[in-house]
Amino acid sequence: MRRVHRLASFLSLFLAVWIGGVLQLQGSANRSWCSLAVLWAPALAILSLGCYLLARLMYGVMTFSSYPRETVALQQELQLAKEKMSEQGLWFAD
Amino acid sequence: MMQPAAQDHQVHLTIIIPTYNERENIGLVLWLLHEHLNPYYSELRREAGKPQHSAPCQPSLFWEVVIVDDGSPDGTAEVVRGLQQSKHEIGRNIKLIQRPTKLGLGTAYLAGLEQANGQWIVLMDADLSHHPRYIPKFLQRQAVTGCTVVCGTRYRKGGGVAGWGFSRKLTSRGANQLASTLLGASISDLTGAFRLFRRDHLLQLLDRTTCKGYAFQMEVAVRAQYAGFHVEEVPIIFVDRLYGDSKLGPSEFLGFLRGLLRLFLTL
Repeated sequence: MRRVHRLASFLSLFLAVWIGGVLQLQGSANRSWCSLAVLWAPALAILSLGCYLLARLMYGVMTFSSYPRETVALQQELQLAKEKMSEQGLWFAD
Repeated sequence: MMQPAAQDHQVHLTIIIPTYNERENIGLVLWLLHEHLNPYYSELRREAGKPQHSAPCQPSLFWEVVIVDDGSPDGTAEVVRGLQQSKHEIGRNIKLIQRPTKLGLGTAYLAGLEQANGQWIVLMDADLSHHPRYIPKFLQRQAVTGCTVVCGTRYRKGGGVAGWGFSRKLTSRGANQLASTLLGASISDLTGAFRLFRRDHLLQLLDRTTCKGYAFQMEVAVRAQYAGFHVEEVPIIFVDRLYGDSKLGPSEFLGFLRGLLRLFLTL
């Protein structure tokens, strides 16, 4: 089964359960935290997912290392390489 | 124990480098490849107990470079031909394919593969953002794990970038995380282009890819995973000397998102 179909199946199941839960609560005038949680479940799920993805992105950027000295090291290495190539008649770029 | 690199006359590794306007860089890339690969293959031959300098077994004959130039107006092809025709060892293992114009990365790799003799293929860029010193590390990882694909990654410990600001890092990391979440990918660096492949697996992947631009690299990595290939990652430091924050424009980013959506709906 394709990944998108699996995800769609899972979402449909979640939606069906949620609608069932909401319909069950329709009759009662009970406004307990439990009924509120059921009513707001999709919104809470989306919010939680958003927070998780954002936290993962921030962690990913924080651990995405920078190596500024590598630029300098590479420039030096290339300068040396260019000199050696020129000495041996291998520099054709100029 | 590391396997010997190759039979005496067999090319073990082909490095395919697509080029467009890399006149200044291509000679330096070839020089650095010699500096880093020849000692590696010499060492392998020493470990395998073979004599060092018996002709035709110079270390540079275990690997070759195929340059695919898309009609560079700056004379990149002339620089390559100059090196090919020199008497220096550097020209001994270079092949040049000249195409009339930019025809896409996928077809460039396929054209390179047609001329490649190596059992193993490295794909890399010509602008020196990919340093040849990592290629022996790719080969070592492959020899130790028996995998068929090694991806250079900027995001694992030991990897990273030089020359990028916060916004560029955010876009890069964000795009990769979005892609890996949507596609269920375990490879950390989906848009990286510095990779080692076993030849037959690369051919299978290239035959199946349809995306262009950044999405192309992502598609290759994801298809490798979905095909059940054993993929390993090696940290690399990507040095962006020339473009900094400016290479990724809105059209490239939109193209990436289009490719990602298409892959999400079809894979």
